[in-house]
Formats: sequence, structure tokens, C-alpha cells
Amino acid sequence: MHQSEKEIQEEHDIIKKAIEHPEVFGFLYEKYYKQIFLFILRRIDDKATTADLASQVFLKAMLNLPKYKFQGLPFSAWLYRIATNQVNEFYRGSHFQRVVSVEDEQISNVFKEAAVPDKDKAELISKLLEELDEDEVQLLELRFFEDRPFKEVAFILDITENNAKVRTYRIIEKLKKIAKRNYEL
Amino acid sequence: MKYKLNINKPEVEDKEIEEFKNFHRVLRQYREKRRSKSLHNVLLRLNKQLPILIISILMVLLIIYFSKILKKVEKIEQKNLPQQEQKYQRK
Repeated sequence: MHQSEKEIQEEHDIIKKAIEHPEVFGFLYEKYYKQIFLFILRRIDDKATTADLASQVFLKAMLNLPKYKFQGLPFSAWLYRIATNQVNEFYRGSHFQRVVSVEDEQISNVFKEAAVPDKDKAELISKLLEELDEDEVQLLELRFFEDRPFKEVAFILDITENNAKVRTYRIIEKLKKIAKRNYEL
Repeated sequence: MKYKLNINKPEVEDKEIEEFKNFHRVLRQYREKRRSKSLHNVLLRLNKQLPILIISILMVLLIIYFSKILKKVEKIEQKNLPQQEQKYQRK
């Protein structure tokens, strides 16, 4: 969701108020609940667990609100960052298999970026996921499956923008290799 | 398989998401956590200052103890001093 400079600034004013008056945070909760819920659901694939984790995300956001530093990004980026950590924490302590949710069209975008023929998508993307480590999968999801700008991706994953670009390039290179191997067989 | 891949999974309806929304619960949890956090902070501060407090009390007790000993010694010295002088005078 794109936000104008004015909207971002207004949101920042609400955040300042919410530090003193936690009830004001309800406005941000209403605004971002659906986005955060869907963000987690794509990675968890269980509604009840997702609702529980989403609540935890907002609770952590409220508790850490005084530490929030405005970096010119929408507040949602910070919530996504907390949500990413929450999801990682959930998988760290469980035996559940990680979930990656994607649309057909989004896979096509990745293939287009890698200049790979748009066929055997499911098979190739599965092979790619097998070869990527956890951080790379998160980057792939944020950058290609959710179409976020590098600045936001970097902020969510707590890495530099340059690092995010370099890692994305490596993912694309891996996909190219996998495709080449696949079509040679 | 490391990952379970969902392709084109239908999105959840807004109505269903709304049912999970509960800001009042989050607000209540927030207040409970804040309360326990502030108590924790007080204990943490006390924990940091406790060694300094103990050392200060020990120092004060030592000073009192030594000053008492010093007073006792002075008293004994004062008692002994005139007797010796008397002895010298007799001689």
C-alpha cells in the first residue's frame, strides 16, 4: 500500500500520541490488522495461529513504541519487521513445515526478472526454494511475491539496501542455474 | 521438502478477518505487561543499587566500630597516664 509523505507524517504524529495514550494505538490497529493478518497467514497457513501471532505483533509494537525511530517509511514496515521476527520465532520452536504462499502471476514476475521461460513454474520454484536458505526465502517473498521496494525489504529484514540488492541478484542467479539444469535434462 | 508451497490459494474473506480482531484484548495485555514491566524495572534498579547500599552500610558500621574502639583506647590511656606520672613524682 503506497502512502504519501503527508500520510506518513500524520501517522507519525499518531504514534507520538499513542506513546502517551495507548488507546490511540487502536487507530493503527484498525488500519493495519488485515495487512498483518494476511502477511502472517501467507507464511503460516493456519487462521487461529495467525490471529494469535497477529495479536502478539501489535502487543509488541505497543510495548516497544517508545523505541520506534521514524525513518521515512510507513509504520507498516515496522509492523512487518516485528511480524517477520514473530513468524521466525514460531517456526524456531516448532516442528511445522514452513509455508510459502504465492500467486501464479508473481512467479511469472520472478521468471521474467531471471529471463527464464515461463513454464514448469511450480516445479522450478519448488527447486529454487529447496536451494535457498531461510533469509533468502524471506527476501524472495518480500521482494517478488509481495512486490516491496528494496528500502522496505532492507528495513524489514534489518539489512542494508545494498545487501538486499546483492542477495536478490544471487537468488536470480540461482534460479537461472536451476532452470538451465532443468532444461538440459 | 523444506517448504510447503501454496500456489493461488484463495484469500480469506474480510468478514472472517474481522472476527479475529480484538483491540481491547491487546490493550488489556499491554496494560498487564506494562504493570509487570514497571515492577521488574524497580527490582532491576534495586538489584543494581543493592551492592552499593550493602557496601555503604558496612563502611558506616566499620567507622562506628573503629571510632568506639578508638574512644576506649583513649579512655584507657587517660586512666593510665596520671598513675604513671604519680609514680614518677614519688620517686
